[in-house]
Amino acid sequence: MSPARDISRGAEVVRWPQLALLLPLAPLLVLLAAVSVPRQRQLVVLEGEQPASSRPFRLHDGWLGSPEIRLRAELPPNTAMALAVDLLDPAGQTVLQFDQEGWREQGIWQEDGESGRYDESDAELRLQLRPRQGGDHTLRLALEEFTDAAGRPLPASLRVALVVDNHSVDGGLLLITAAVTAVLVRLLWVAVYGDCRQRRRLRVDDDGAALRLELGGAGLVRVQVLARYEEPDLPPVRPQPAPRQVELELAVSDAWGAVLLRERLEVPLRHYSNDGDHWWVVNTSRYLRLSEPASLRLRASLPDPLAGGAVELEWIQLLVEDGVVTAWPVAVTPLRSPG
Amino acid sequence: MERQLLLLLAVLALLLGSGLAVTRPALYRIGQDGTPRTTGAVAFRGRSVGGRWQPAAGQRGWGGFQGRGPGGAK
Repeated sequence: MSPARDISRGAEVVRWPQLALLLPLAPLLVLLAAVSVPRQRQLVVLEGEQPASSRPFRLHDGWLGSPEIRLRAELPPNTAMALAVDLLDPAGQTVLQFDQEGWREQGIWQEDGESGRYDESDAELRLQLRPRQGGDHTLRLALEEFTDAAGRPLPASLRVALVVDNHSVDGGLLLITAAVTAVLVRLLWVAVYGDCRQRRRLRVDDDGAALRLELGGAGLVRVQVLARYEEPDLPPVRPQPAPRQVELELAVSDAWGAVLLRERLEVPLRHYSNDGDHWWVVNTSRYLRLSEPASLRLRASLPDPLAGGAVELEWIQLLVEDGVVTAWPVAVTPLRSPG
Repeated sequence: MERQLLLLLAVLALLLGSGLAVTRPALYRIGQDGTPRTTGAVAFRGRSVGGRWQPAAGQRGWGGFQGRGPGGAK
């Protein structure tokens, strides 16, 4: 019997959870927008021990991100420094004072006969704060110490890069939010597409599995056949290579024994191996549509053995779910009314 | 029922997490008592008290060269 083909439609396809997939992307888009906002950049040159002032930069007091001030000293190799930094508000009042230390080391490492160059440094600072009121602020920098690796003073001359970002966000929290939202959306998908009126599972050590059950109503009937083939304990003298496909026979009959569907399907036989063990797996699903509730017998069978006895069927499992919906249209086999 | 609840939870988690990450209500504001949080080798020379910056008395020790060797290169 050659079955008719159709696709799932109407109430059998539930699409709205697909939109929920966009939710975990939202925090990532916010992060992307925050890192692409233009920043205020300038270079402050320190000569001698006299303090140098930066050009005024704007600190913005809004709710779309918050200000972050980044200072990075451009240190020569094998030096260390201490900077005294004052932050001045638009009225010229000192509102923050701190010291920043930094160092940079360059050299050659050797270990176990291997070697390579390294260039390590710690000369950057990030300061996150909100201004009392938005406006032009200034940094006053003074080079307090500037020495070589041995602690000998060096001529005081240093460039410090200043970057001010008025819309920085908490990137770690955005990534955590994306992950948590993704988990919740995954649970939502399980609740929508894993839900059904009835689920029956049967696993047998045979070449066929059959279930009789009452099926039908809103939604589709999903039939999944899972099977495992293994090498026999006593392999044949002349083993043949395992096939890439096997023929699955799926039969559906009604309470009176009338055959509603008999299909022979070529399904893939996937090969797995681990530590010298070899096994083969069949995993395939079909969707059926019933025009009205009925008592049905479903039977799935697979050939055994394969490859001239080199591959044997270990077990076959039949899983039947009644009343499922799909996220997108799938191929459906409609069954004619029984009786 | 659980579908609506899960959708609601997902939207709430998104709004709460993104809202806190963007607005950062707990961030230090200039004039608040104390000092802001920083990353890097920073030592504050004072603290804000009653809306005004109070410099700390005394000089801080200078740590000197702190090179840690080729830690990241190995």
